[in-house]
Amino acid sequence: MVSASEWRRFLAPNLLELPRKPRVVDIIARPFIDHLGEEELLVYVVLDDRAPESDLTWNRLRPIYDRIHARVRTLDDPPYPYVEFRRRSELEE
Amino acid sequence: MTATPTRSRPLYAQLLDQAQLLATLEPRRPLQASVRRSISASYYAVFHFLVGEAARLQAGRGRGSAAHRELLIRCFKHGEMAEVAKAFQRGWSRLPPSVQRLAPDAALHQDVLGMADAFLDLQRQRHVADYDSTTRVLRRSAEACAKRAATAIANWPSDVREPSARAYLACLLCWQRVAAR
Repeated sequence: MVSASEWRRFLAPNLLELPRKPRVVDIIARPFIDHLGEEELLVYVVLDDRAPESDLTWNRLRPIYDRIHARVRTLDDPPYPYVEFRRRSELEE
Repeated sequence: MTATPTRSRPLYAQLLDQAQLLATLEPRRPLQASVRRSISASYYAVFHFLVGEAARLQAGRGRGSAAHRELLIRCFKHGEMAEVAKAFQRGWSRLPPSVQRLAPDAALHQDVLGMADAFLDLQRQRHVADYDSTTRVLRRSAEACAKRAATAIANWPSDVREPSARAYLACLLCWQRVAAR
């Protein structure tokens, strides 16, 4: 089983060629049990607190989502990555 | 997209409208009830779209087969549909041989993959929205779910002969038996 720290290295933002905006400050990924009872991957994309809401629509976030999915799919038999987007302050709540 | 649901539109379209309406109902401070119901509506829009398409594939599209379609629609299971989504997003070559034989040499259509991803994500989001009262659901999440649902439905291959889309729909009702063989 891949550990959270190994996933963090594998999904480091600098490896994903992410768009400049909205700015991704961190990607936190960990194995988890999903609502179907299966072990998959929960990925939090941590966004800059200064990003305006207009930068956080699905159309703007989709390229980040697609890059994470594409990266995970390079693995043999990978878990399914459930990707969530949060500002740093929202994660800390 | 109309602001108010109308009876003449399919159920999935009404649910898409409702999802968008609820996500933006309170301009300043969204109620948790509104954004949670919005996410639920987004998920059920996709669910009803898929079961409708799958039932039409099996039973036909004419008025004479309406009762047959209605019977089939009662048979779909959320968990089984999620398993289909997981299996298809792993790639065409990893599907059971019996499914691959539905369309030899086919490739997974990009928008079928997009639907599989959307369905899984929306189902999980709906699970959190409906059952996890400890999590604060963001308006942004509800709006994203509404957008994803609308996009997945709009982009679903319109050609009923598209092989991977037909295979996907065919599997929705019988996956657990297919996967077990």
